Amino acid sequence: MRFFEKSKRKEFEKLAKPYMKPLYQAALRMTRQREWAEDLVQDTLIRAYERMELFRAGTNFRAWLFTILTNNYLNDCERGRRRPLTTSFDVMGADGSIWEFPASEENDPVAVLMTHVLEEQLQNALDALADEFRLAVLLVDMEEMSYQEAADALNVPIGTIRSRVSRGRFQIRQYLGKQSEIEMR
Amino acid sequence: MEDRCKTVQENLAVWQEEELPLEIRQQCDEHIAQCSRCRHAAEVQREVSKALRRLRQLHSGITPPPSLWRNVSKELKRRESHKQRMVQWQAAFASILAACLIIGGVWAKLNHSSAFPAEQTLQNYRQWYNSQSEPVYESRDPAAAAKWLSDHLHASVLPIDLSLSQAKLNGADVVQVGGVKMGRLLYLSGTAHLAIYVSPAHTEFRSLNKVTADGNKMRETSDKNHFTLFAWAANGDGYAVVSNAYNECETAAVDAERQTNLP
Repeated sequence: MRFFEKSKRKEFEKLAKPYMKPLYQAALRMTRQREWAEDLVQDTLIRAYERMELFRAGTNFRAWLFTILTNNYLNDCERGRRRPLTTSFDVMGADGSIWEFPASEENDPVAVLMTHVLEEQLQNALDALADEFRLAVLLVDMEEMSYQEAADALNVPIGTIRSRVSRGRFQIRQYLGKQSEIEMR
Repeated sequence: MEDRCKTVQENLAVWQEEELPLEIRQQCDEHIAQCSRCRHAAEVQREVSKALRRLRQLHSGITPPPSLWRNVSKELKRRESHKQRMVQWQAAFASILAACLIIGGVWAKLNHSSAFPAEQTLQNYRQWYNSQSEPVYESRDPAAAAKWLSDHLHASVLPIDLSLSQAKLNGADVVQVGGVKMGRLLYLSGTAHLAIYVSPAHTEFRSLNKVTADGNKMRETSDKNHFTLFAWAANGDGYAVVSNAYNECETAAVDAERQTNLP
């Protein structure tokens, strides 16, 4: 029994260690706080070890770890223990619609800016999103999870994830547009 | 915004990633080709997604502190040894439980008495003699009484006819003697009241202190009231004749013993 338990830990460590870095980066992107990110990663790996028998061999181990990470993050938020650091601004239009975006223009300054956008501005735009949109965008665009994997991680239908990613991207673009307008004045 | 635009924009996130069903994708393609607003929206989706992926690459240099994996590994080891201890405790507990069950089983086996409760039988007779109650099943027919007892004891009881000993059957009943369920046959021989106790499977006696004329061994005991008991085992059952008169008791015992010891 001792041997099996030891080999289980060794096996897990061998499997999980390569994902330590992407998990930490994802945790940092979610929380924007180093200490919280470290706690999240530690909890994620320990929970994964404890529930290793629930992982189905042949499925995506990385996606499984990210699902646990996302759940841990949401649990922390739900319990009100911690909140991610975000900049505060309103990305919605005056009418409250999040679907309105500027009409196409030949020399749209935002389109030009987007290709040269500074990391800090993009990060600020991402941080400004509501959690449901931010997590969807993070998982799909930054953690490169499939829509289905992201839907599983957030426990929502795949259509909801598509919609949230789409809306999240528009909001980022809208925020950057506002910022560029401010800068151009 | 047109409904058509809204529908298309709902699917824009995946429009360029080939996750859409072919039919919807074709509808989106057609609409986007005609609608500049949606074309622009699609472009926004693509550009933002690209920018976010670039941002991810910029983050690729971020590494977790070395202490993080050390802490994780330490915690996993702690849990591993805790689990091992739990398993050891469970094994120890299971062993103790198994040992208790075995000891209990042996104890139960050893304490399952097949001893014939001779003293309590004598006491039971004394109680009956004082009350002289009628038997529950009144019959003068030994075969009928034996059948009645067989039914009530769920065991085969032989008929015992004491007519050669000048004793007449009054009937039978079932009694509890020292925790043992017994059949009791009541006879009358002149002034002597005879009772034969039949106890299926209770065949052990502390000592057999009397040898009959046939060479069979019996236990003889009596109390201060001069009630006498003769008991023996035959064919896997225990028997006792008890009476207030010694001679009649002895005669009946020898007679009954012969009837129960038939091959």
